[in-house]
Amino acid sequence: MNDNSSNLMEGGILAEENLSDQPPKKAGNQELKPTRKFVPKLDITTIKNRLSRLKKPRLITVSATFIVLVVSFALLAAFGSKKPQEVTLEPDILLTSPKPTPAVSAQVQQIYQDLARYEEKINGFSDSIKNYPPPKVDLEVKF
Amino acid sequence: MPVSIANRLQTTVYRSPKRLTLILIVFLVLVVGSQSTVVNSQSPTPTTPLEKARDDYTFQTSKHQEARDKYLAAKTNHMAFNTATSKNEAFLKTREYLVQTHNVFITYLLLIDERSNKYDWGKGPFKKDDAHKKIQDEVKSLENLRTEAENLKTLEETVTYAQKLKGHVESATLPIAYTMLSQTDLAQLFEAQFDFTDNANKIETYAKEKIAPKDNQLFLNWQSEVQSSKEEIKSKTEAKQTFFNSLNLNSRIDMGQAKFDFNTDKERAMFTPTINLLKEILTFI
Repeated sequence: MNDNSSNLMEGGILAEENLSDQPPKKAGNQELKPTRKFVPKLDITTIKNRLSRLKKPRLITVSATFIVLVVSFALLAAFGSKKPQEVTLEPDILLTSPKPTPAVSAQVQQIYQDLARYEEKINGFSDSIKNYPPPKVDLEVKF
Repeated sequence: MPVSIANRLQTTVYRSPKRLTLILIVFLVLVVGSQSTVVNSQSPTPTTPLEKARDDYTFQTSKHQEARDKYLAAKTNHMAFNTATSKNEAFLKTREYLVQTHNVFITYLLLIDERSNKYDWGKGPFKKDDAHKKIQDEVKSLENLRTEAENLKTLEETVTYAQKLKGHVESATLPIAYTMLSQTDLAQLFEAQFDFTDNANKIETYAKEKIAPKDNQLFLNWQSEVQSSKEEIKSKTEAKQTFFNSLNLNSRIDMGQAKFDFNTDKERAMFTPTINLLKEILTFI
């Protein structure tokens, strides 16, 4: 090959390279618009990929669930260990006198304890014969 | 260092989500299981003998109702078809019903007996041991009768036996129960009367020493009111005892009209204001 033919070839190659940046042309030299694929906004694959990339929210969700469960368990255990109310025979009754009084004596304490027991008995007066009617039974067996 | 732990955790989370899910499920099961344990521990199980006796009676009553329904259904069936099979079925259900009737009365007696243990009979005219023995003897009688019922062989025998049981309940079981309940009510009144008098005396002794001279008139008025209450309570309680003694509690009580009329509501109402009356003078000391 002589230099003239190589120059022509190079020019052809250069021309082709220049042409590749331009939009393709139809036979009638009209420019073709590039066709685009329709990409839906809510693409499941895209969401999956994005979620897999999100690390922190998932970890936070798991941790929060764990903490909520532990706290619930602790609260239930605390409420479950609550004892039922018991009747106290030593009430903490304050003496309401106009003048300041010294420490309550043993005699007064005993009086108040006895009073508490007496009050409990009187309040238990709702338990009477009326609460224990006889069983209703039919023994008129006939065939 | 903490960053690397966080990274490792994240890596584990993403590498084994199924394992994490399994761990969470197991944890949830443990939590729910502990919740049910807590709930069961809080559920109302009978704690006192009286509560247990009440539960037993309630249980036997419901069983009795079931047995009665079956007996009535079998009876209707036999009256309609009158076959050997229907007769046998009617016999079995009737016998079961009669046996269950014994259980109802036995647990009822045990219930009222347990109730009597709540009160101190020592302050009244009756002896708890005597009343208790009568109940226990009647329970044994019913248990013996129950054995007899369990050994019934024919439908005709169940009819005869039902009349026998009815007679026994009306002449023995119900009068004994009525007596026990009435005596327990009176024992309550006498115990309350004793406690009121005892507390009033103690407070009066204490207040007499401690009351200020300027409150002396108040103390005298209080004393007077306490004395009036004592007399009223004594009078009405003794009247109720007299009324009780006049009752013929050994007489037959018709099952169809069984009703225990002995009533101490008015006498009980006397004691309610005494609580504040006793406390009143202490506020001035």
